[in-house]
Amino acid sequence: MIRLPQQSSEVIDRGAPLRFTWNDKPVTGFAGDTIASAIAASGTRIFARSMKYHRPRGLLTADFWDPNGFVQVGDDPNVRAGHRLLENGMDVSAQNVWPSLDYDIKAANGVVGRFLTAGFYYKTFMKPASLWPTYEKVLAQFAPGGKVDLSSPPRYHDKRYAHPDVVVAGGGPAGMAAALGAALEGARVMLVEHNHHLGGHLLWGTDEDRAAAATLAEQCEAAENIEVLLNSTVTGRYEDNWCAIAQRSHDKAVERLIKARAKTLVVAPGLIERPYVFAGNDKPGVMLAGAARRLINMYSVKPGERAVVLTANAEGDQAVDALERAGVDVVAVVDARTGGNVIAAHGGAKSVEEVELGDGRKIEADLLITAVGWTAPTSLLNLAGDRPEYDPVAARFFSSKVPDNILVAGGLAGDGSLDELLIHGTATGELAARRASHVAATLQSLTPRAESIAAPAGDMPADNRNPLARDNHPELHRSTTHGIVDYSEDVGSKDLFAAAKEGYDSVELIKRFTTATMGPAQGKLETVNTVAVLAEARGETISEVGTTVWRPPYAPVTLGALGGRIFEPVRVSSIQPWHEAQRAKPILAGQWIRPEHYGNPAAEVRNVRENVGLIDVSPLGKLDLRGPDVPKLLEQLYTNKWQKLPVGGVRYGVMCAEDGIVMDDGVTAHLGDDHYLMTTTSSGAARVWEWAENWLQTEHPDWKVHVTPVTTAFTSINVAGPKSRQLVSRLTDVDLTPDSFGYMQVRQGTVAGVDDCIMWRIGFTGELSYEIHVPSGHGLHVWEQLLAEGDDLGVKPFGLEAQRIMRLEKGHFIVGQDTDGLTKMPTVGLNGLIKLDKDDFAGKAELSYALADDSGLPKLVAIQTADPSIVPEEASQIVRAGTNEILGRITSSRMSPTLKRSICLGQVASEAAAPGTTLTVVMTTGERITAKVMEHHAHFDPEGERLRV
Amino acid sequence: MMLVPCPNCGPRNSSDLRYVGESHSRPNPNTATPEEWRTYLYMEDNPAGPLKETWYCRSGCRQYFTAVRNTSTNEFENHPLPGAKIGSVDPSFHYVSESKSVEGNQ
Amino acid sequence: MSDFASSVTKTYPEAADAALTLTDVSATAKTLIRADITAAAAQDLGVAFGASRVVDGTLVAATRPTEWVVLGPEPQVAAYVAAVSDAGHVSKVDFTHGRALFRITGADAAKVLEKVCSIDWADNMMPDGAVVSASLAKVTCDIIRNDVGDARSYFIMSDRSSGQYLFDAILDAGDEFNMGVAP
Repeated sequence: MIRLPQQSSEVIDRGAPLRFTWNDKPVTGFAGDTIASAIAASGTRIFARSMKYHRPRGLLTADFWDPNGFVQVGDDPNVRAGHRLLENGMDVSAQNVWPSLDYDIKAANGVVGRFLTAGFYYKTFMKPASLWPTYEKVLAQFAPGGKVDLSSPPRYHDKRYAHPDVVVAGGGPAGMAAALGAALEGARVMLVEHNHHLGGHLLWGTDEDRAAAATLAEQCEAAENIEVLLNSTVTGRYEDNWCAIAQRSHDKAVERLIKARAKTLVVAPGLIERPYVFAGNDKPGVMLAGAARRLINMYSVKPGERAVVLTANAEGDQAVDALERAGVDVVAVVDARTGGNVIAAHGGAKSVEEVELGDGRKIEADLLITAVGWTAPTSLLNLAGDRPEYDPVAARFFSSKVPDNILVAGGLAGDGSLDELLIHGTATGELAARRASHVAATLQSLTPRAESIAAPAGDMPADNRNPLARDNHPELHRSTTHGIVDYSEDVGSKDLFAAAKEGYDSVELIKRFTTATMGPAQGKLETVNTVAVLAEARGETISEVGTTVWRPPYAPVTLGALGGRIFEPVRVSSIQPWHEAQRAKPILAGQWIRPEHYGNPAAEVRNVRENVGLIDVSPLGKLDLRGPDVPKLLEQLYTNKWQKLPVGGVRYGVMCAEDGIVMDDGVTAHLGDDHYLMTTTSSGAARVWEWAENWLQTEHPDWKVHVTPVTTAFTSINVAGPKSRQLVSRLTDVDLTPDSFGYMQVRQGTVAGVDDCIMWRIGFTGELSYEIHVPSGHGLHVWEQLLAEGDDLGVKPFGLEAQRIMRLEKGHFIVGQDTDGLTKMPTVGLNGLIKLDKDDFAGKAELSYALADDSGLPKLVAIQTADPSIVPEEASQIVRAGTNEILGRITSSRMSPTLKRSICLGQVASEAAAPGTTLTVVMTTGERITAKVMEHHAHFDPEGERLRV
Repeated sequence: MMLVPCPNCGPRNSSDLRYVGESHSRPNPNTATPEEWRTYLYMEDNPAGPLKETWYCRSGCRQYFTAVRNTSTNEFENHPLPGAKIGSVDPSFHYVSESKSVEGNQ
Repeated sequence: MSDFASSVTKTYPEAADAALTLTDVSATAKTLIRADITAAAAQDLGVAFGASRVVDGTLVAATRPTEWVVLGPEPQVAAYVAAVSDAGHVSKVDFTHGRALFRITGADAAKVLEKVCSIDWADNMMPDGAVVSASLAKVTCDIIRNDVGDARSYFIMSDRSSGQYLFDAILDAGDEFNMGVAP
């Protein structure tokens, strides 16, 4: 192939040469070239080797769908050379070839091709299963595709939402007319074109075609309410016209996913030219009519010297004109409409040399052009529930039923002259706009925040368009010989016949068995031929066989585009800058970033037990509860009683779901008249809020309670340790003497000059402690003041790990750690908090059944290993001695710095839960150790004397 | 993504809401037998057709509401966008025709 | 008393004269009012779910069917809230410390928002004064359109703990529109 002199139609800029390498050889192309057109213009005919047989392949379609046009560009694998625009300095190489494109050792596969029939891999590499890893390694060498460079820096991807009135999928004549028609009706239009230019098939058509395309494109670009997205694809249509659009033309992002809620969607992707199946149909030099016209008219590339043209339609006839204009010697035009046929393309490995015709003639040629018909890419319609039906007269599929918010235009809808297509397209756009306006008004009328309007009356505007006619077209799928059906997957018509004979004779089965239509072209080129060959094998019509269902995406999208800009919210307390400055080791707990420790958790524990420590517990869920009926709500949510909690009191409670499973726990304080503050676990804050709202809104709408989440309105600081009273008293006006502020009580006052602080005495760590809730804008200030004022008392911060150790020393369970999705409340040993004499509470029914007989429920017990130095890993199994029968598991385990020994909590079957029972624990090494069930959950200070002082 | 007609916010993306489940009334926990209670907890009607469901407008008004949705078409009763849905998906959609013996055809 | 510390603790180069700006106004006083729509308080507040109004130097926004947020300088908010009727079941919760509050202003403000949120920001669907709750970069926020003269402007209110994350997520979305951080 060579570059032609300047053509009036070309899209390349000869004033802007671009230098790049193709398989390490320097090549020059022009701005506007695709990678494929530039390589073709340099004289290259072989672009790739086929997947299975490594047969040499040349350009077939010379566009996005070319099955032979996959190349590696630098670190970018599987680039579609027929589509990607050439850039200066590109390093382009062929894929799936070794050692080189021209001499490929694996082409030996072609010699043994008869063994590589459909299902070959399934049948050959099935047994023995022990060899699968070996098979995988060997087969991976033969896998197609480019090389992924894991060291490539990540590139910027993006995401956006859009709410256009009309999305037009396809920027050909029908799509442009529809966009303009809709825009003139006042609609905001998103016109999405898969290729780099508006114009569709007009771009490689006649001078008049191109002039018309240019005029329409100018109008679209100029229209204020049309957003033109070039090199972008509507990859899917989902419920309620939710359209996924992959935009490859954004100036900052490599690829951007647009999620567009289209009020109406116009589907106008045009038609995709279909290859013809015959012997040698994959030889370099066999090319579709559209490919020849694109190469000549758009890129000024002469595709060969001597051509045979098989034509069944006007596009094929136009290819003859284009070839002649390019100086190609058209040695034979075979007209399929009058019975002409091509039987085979013969030749060496690198090119067609001779074409064998149906009438027996053999003609020397290096180029064979076929124009045998179309595939209707109905993907977006299928996704809307359409089941396109085959029309044998027009030899393609047509839509059968679509929702009112989808309209079809262009080649998918029918045939016609350019004028007829434009008239139909314009009418489609106008109708799309009117229907969009109906949808928009409906949405607006239903949305209170929107400008107030009345709902539109009646159904959507009726479809009064004059339908497009359907041209007669001969059904041409397979010649009298066998050839390739799926170029990407190297599946031939012979394979399909064989598969059908083996019983894979439904279209969906044959697809999966042979992998036909499953390659990167995803059926755009090969689905209809697959169906046609299967129909032939079954002796049926195409309509009877039916077709596979097109699935999204219409064209491949990168994983980067699907990821978009990744939104992973994190939450931090107001003290976080201080934690970071102290180089606290961070831990992600849910969405919260928290300090796990500040260097030495065991030392932090000792300091709390001996002096005083501070922990930032801001993630603790907090709900402000107000109203006269708060006690009713508390009684409904918690299993215990709340009516008599006095103002100034704090009480612990457990919440269960309706199945009796422990859901959350925490304390709630009675702050004042009709005013409470509830705390939840850090991870349960949102769940408990929604749970409370559920009861209030659905079961008890008459209760007067307002629930307000205030988790981060307060920075929560727990001051724990024997010297905590001494420390806090230096900073507050609240009377801390034990007589006036006892254990499980709450007070409000000023701390470090900050008003409106809430303070309570609770004992998660087992020490005297004050949990202070400070308005968050002053949280860091109070934290720093506590540290500064307590220096002489030995105050130090402690992290989550120290807190976990101390609560384990005290035997306090953590919901989700020591309980799981099967743990009913009797398991945790707090049956005294289940008040069945209350009229109702969440989980009451199940808990009443459970309490009637809880012998089948496991029990949470404190466990100590016989060897105090061994800390079994959490989730280690507890088994019956001498067997593998599981009796339970360790749920929490730590080395206790206070007791200087290993301590655990675990769930065991009730038969093994009695204090003193000897347990067998299986370590992760498989070793078995013995351990003992303890009398109390608390390993340390079981009477709680330290926290009540 | 489906639009769910929130009675307060208007139509919202389904990802803005949490699907709570089929709407069943809660039995009296003091009198329900275990079988009745567990039927309430675990059993769903799961009809192919209209179904009364509870939704929670998590990102919007924070209100629970019930709506009737046709599970075959995803059409809500009083769907905000009339005509925007077509009928239920034909069960033969994926496997278009019965397998026939190829031997018999040759 | 110490100064109010915002959740946005990073510092940014200031771009006060950028055409599109993001501003941290978290120190604004915020009070939440909960009341039935039949309560006298609802009459006083004067706006129904989805709407807002400027009154007595404050911005009153109906953020849920039975919930309003009053924003503004502390004395005005305190005075306004005190005047709202307490008849019936009414709760007034100071929210100043519980919420981060940002303002995004400029002609392209809606284009930034549509990169982080699925709501339709078109004028007819979200006119000046409209209020919506929605997920912004996966954080649930209350958004109030509050144009400044001719300039399109939105208040964005989120949970305080997510403030820094959200501020950065919006800045990243605004990069292609040359958004700057304004004081």
